[in-house]
Amino acid sequence: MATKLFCDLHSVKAILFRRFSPITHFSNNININCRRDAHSTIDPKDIFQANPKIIKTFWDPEGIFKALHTFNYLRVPYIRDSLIEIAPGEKFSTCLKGKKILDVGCGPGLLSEGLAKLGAEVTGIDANRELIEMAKNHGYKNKRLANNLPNYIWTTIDKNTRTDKVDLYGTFFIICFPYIQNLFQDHSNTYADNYDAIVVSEVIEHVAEKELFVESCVRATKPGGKLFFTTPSRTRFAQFFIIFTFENILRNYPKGAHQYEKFMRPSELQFMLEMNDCFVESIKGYFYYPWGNNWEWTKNKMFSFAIEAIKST
Amino acid sequence: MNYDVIISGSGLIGLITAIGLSNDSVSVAVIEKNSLPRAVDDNRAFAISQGSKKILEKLGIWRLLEGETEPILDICILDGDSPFTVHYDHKMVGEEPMGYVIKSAIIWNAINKNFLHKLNIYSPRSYKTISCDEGYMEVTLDNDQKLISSLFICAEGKNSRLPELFSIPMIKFDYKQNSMVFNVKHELHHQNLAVERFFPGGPFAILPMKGGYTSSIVWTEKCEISKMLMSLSEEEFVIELKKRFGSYLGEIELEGERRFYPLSFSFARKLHKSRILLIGDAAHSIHPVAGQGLNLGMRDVESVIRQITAAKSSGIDVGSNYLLKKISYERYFDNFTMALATDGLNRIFSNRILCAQVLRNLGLMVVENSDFLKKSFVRHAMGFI
Repeated sequence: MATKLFCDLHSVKAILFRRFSPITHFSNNININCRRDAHSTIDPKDIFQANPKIIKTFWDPEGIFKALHTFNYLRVPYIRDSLIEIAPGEKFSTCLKGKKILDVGCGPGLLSEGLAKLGAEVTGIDANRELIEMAKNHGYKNKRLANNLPNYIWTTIDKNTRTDKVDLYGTFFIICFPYIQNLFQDHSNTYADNYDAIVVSEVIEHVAEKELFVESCVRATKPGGKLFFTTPSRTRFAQFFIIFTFENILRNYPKGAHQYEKFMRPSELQFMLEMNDCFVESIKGYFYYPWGNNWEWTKNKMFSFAIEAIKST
Repeated sequence: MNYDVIISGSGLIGLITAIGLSNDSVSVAVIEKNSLPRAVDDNRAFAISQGSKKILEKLGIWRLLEGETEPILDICILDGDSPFTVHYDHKMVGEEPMGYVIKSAIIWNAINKNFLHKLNIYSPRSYKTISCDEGYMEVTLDNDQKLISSLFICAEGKNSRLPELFSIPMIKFDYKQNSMVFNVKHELHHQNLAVERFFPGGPFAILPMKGGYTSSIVWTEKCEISKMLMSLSEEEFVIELKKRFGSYLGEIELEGERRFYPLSFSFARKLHKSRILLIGDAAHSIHPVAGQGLNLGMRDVESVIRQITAAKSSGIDVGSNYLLKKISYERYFDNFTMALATDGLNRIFSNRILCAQVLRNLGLMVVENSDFLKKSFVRHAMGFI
């Protein structure tokens, strides 16, 4: 695993960054250990057998993923309003027309469909094939979406290694150690400078090699394009709510979906983005209210935060 | 054809919802089984509360009605011939009148002329099948046309069969009362005073109408008595009417024809199922004792428009379960309390039982002397909760 890690660190920038930031260095080390343990004890094939059960409930608005359904109330207007200015009387169904958006870690397409409904040309990529199939199916079956379907791509390397590469909840929740970087790096190489906006919503906390991931995201963006990240903060507050309360007690999130060590601080993500020639426009905090199943913007960034950045031209 | 929302029933509530939603860039289709525009032949009047007026104002309907409405400034409540009365004055809450009385013909003409051509209307059509699937629903009309949408709003009125077909539990019973609705001309100006007088047969309401010398009467009586009254000739009817109306407005005479409507109570215990949402009288048909049926429906409309527009602008499926749940959470309590209150009022006032008589007179006395209670009742009647 360690050798693999060094093989994957192509970027000198990333190496430098690792060396000079003790926090990420530390957390990545922990991640490696965690994941290795998980891999050595669980047969991925078995997990994959059990997986459809959880994945099937993804589109169930009452299921364990119900929080993600209502999250669109917050994140879609957030993305919409920073991409365009809506004139009064303009039709919502076409307001994002002509915008190319890449949804990284789209999962079953919750956000992709939401953006597609506003008229955007959405491409969703995910490393989990089941989820991509599900997203395609759901979009295809839905006759309401027929004219503006998001384009879903399953980016992976080859079949033999697939089962090793995909973990319990698919990439949407847990992306195994170095592989998503490979996957996404591929996409970002083929589609460099291609997208008006990149949306990475609740994904980066499941990614291990974060520097590379962010770098790839930036590469796929057009100069002057925007990047949106939403992710939990690494605070004990967030740990208490997300991992302890919502996962274990209230069951609003699937159990075991988050690891505290993989969470990020706003400043860390901002630093990574600025390392890649991006200008961070705003950082906003938000909170999830489980009793009403709704999300709201907050002033502090203790729970989760959303970053909006512009790639420099 | 592909729509965001299909509305079944083109009553007032259905059309206002359609107008409001299409203002906000949601694509709407309306299915109506009778042909449109409907002929307006009744002389009913609607009492529109201040809250409903604000909603109509927002939708751009109110400006078409301006000049045709008569404000209600005071309300008087009497119990038969007992000396206890309650007098509500609009000045207790503010400068605005408590509500407005509008002839139904005026509101219908305004809608027919200005909005009907903007809406996608399927009439006279009824639906054969409704099938819900994940992400959308499909409605087949009786000419085999297929409409696809995300949400089906049922605004078909109280005789709708849809709740039954989708086995939505309803509470239903008959009041065994009929409401007679007609207009009278009177000698003296009504001073914008609405009167509600309770008799053992049911409430008797006088609503001030435009001009100052006509009033709309809603006379609720037990079935048998109302049938007997309807069969009377006009002269005889006026004699009976005078016994109830009193002489405070001088001589009276009938204007136009009399009509009667049987009253029943129905209340949906669930407002939504799969992708069906009940609003207006299809969800709650209540006793007209407080004149709140339409206003309650208007509050439904407001909530539906607000929530659906918010969902639409966020790219959320407008027929999704949590959206419908949100709407019904918002509406259910208000619907329920209003249904309970009107039913309770009717029950306690429309009888001759001594105990109830004492109780209601006591109640009237308390309300008359308590500023707080009066204010809160007025606020509620005005549509500000």
